[in-house]
Amino acid sequence: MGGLRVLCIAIVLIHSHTIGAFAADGPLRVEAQPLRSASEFLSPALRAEQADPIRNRGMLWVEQGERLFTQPPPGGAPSCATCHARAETSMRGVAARLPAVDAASGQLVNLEGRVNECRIVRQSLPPLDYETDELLALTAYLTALSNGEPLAVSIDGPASAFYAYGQQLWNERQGQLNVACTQCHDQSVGRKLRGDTISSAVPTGYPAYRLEWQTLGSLHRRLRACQLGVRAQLFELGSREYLALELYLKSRARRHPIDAPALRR
Amino acid sequence: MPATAQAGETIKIRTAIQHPMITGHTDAGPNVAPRKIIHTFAVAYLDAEVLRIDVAPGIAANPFFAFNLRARSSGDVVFTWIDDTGEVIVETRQLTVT
Amino acid sequence: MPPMMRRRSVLFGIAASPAIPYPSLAQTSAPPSTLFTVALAELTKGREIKSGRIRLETSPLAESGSSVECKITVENALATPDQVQTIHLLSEQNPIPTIARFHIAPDTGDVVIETSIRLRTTQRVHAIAQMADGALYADKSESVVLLAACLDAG
Ligand code: HEC
Ligand code: HEC
Repeated sequence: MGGLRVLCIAIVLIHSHTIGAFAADGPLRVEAQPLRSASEFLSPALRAEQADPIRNRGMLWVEQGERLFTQPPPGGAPSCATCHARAETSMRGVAARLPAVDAASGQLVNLEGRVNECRIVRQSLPPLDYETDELLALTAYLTALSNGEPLAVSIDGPASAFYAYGQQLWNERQGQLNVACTQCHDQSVGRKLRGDTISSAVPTGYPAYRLEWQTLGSLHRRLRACQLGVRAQLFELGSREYLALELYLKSRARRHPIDAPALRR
Repeated sequence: MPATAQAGETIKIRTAIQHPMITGHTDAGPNVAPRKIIHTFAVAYLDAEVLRIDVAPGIAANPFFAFNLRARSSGDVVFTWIDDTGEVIVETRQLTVT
Repeated sequence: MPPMMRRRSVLFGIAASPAIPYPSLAQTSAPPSTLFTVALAELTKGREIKSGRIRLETSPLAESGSSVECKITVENALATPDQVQTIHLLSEQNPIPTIARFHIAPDTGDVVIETSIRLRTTQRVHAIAQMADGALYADKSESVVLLAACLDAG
């Protein structure tokens, strides 16, 4: 996987007229409007590919995830299926409820975190890094098992502080370009940027196969790409910042059905 | 696949495999990561090779190939992918011809 | 399993073959690279290239050069001396001109091959079929690439 990452050179292009449009300081407007998924803006060819289980390359990871879930890992630890039986029933809807606050630790935990917790606590195995094929495969498999399930994260009680932090990050201008998430994903939906059409950042398609990445990637990797785009200080994949943003995004898009793995440009 | 076809019928087979297809070159200059691609994809049907593809880095990551096969009689279709590290992936599917 | 054999995710699909539409070509590419010209010359060895029998289609407008749809069709009668033997897929602008070579067994019948290719930039791609009797047939297709292959903004 390390090799894959260095294959491509980082090049970030943001058209100057777009920066100009964002540069003016001033109060941010947030308009209530229906959220538009990036899948709506896919070309017909890519949309057809996404819907085709052979052409949607994300399905390769789903297949790998099913294998990892059912087969015992080397070294004698019990398989995921030993405890969770048939994932089709035991894991249905799980991805739609996460991230959630873990009662014991008080931390916000997403699907990647849950999988790693079981690896550490229940299998005595080291955690899997973000963007490894194994973690992407398990999360893609488990998320796809919730396809069609509406996002239903809780932002009450202990989750409310994390939600508030995510909302703050969403509205905060950041980076050399001094742009907030909301300026693109609330106020500029439908506009073109670097050949992309800006969507409402509905997180239902992740992990997603992005042609630019030439592989599957986590939601956090996508958030990092957005931060790179505005030349901001990057957060760590799995950091509390990205977790809070993930909770905010999933609450903002509540009731939108999961549809993963999506195909993205 | 698995599949059933009539003798003489042309069927379309589509395959995709998970592989990063690291090109070993970038536009910016010489190698960053060494090349690691699937260099050969071969298909055999009824113990005879029907298609062999010499693959270069110009084939996209997670290679997809679709091709036609003329069904003659029941037997195995054997798919083989070989990459630069010598990794060999073999998958076999039964084709039933009626 | 032998030691070098490992398990990777593989997907299969099967269906009846559909019919193929023919694309129109725009001419917006840069002139072919020297690498391409040399590769083509090595392949043809001075032989005449005919048109017909082979058809190449690539996405006219590719959203990303890292994966561009590509389809090759060859008319190929059974039990004749001029059946297709090898199809060369060549790029005019990639750092390596040869994208793939397809070796076709005799008595395959009509050939329809689809794959996804990488294109560094807007360019023409050529498919050249070499027949068992030595004849060469070729077709080309142009793709406008909106986002070049091998960019990674994170
Ligand atoms: C030894 C038994 C065991 C094994 C093995 C195990 N788990 Fe778990 N897993 C549990 C238990 C018990 C819970 C509930 C923990 C809790 O709620 O705090 C759980 C919870 C989870 C959850 C969260 C479910 C929810 O409703 O929020 C996920 C996701 C999960 N496991 C995935 C996995 C995966 C993937 C593997 C294999 C890599 C795995 N587990 C291996 C016992 C196990
Ligand atoms: C300069 C504009 C811009 C800013 C600022 C920005 N993004 Fe994005 N974002 C994009 C573009 C362009 C895409 C790709 C097209 C799309 O799906 O919207 C994207 C994609 C996304 C996606 C993936 C949507 C999908 O379905 O694939 C998410 C989620 C997202 N952004 C969240 C955020 C968050 C959170 C922030 C703030 C940290 C942020 N973005 C800041 C432009 C921006």
